[in-house]
Amino acid sequence: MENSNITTYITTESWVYHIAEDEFVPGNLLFADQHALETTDGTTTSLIAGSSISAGYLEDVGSNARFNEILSFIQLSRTLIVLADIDNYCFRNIDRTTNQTSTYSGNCTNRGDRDGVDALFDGPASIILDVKNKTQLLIADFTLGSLKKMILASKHVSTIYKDSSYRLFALLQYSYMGNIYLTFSHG
Amino acid sequence: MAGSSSRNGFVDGAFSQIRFNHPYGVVFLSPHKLLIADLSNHRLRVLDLFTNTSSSICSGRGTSDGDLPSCELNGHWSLLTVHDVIFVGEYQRIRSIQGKYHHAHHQVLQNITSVATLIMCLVWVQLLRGQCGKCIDSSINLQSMCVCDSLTVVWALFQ
Repeated sequence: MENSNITTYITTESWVYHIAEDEFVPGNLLFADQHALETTDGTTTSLIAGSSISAGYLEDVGSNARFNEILSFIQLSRTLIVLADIDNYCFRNIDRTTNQTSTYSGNCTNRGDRDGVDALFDGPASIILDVKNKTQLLIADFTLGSLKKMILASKHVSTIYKDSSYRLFALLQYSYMGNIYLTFSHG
Repeated sequence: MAGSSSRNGFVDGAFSQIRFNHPYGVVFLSPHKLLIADLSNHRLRVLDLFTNTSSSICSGRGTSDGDLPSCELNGHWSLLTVHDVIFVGEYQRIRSIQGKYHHAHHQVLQNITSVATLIMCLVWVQLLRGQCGKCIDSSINLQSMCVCDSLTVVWALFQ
């Protein structure tokens, strides 16, 4: 990395837990600013939903909605984003055409460890598309130490692997070769 | 694969020896190189999956911009690569690393065993006009997958 440098692209209000290329506004970066989802072109940053300085749980439109630590998100389509709202124990979604939020999976006021279509989560931290089987998502639960899968069509959740001694499953990444890479620490 | 889940710290080197301190974001720089945001060590760690060794970029806590590898990070959590730019999501900022990290791809190209793959790379490079891209020859071993751009393909042709 010689002859490289690091420069500030934009300043934000708080923790940038996740960044992706914005599929709704091509050329923009879409990012989690702790409790808010925002988009930027490098000059102007726009709020999509939530508040970077105010945590909570509220399904509403744009700045009226509340999240509690958006640790990651995935753009399932150009207009549908699913977010891992870790301290609300659930996955939320945002419709980019209206900025309306709603619950995608789990129960945002009730934590737990339950598979099935009425799944409960304890610390949903990371969500990616299973590139080997694009009909399902892969989920890492920080608190449970679980790797789970969710069938997209039915939202049926099942546990693939669990080791509760690894409490800090964080972000995961699929390789071109199909391996899943996780970062984690000991509980 | 690398590090120890029960012992924090900072050690670079062989995977069996290295230590992290709260690793969060992880992205691929190339098919065999992972970049990891090692939060509490204030470093970006580069894991080479061929040599099973690690190295580091940046080594201190702070918000000053500057040249690599002796740069500062502050609460870096997330990573994203877009073409040849790495974006680093930190506390109260997103920073970008512009640059010549193409050398990360060279070792992969050494493994190209098929002329067809190389031709695909060249076609891909023409299409992308020098931007990074992935090219896959499905008829051969997956390790022959390459990430190619104008610099690395030129390099490969001379091997």
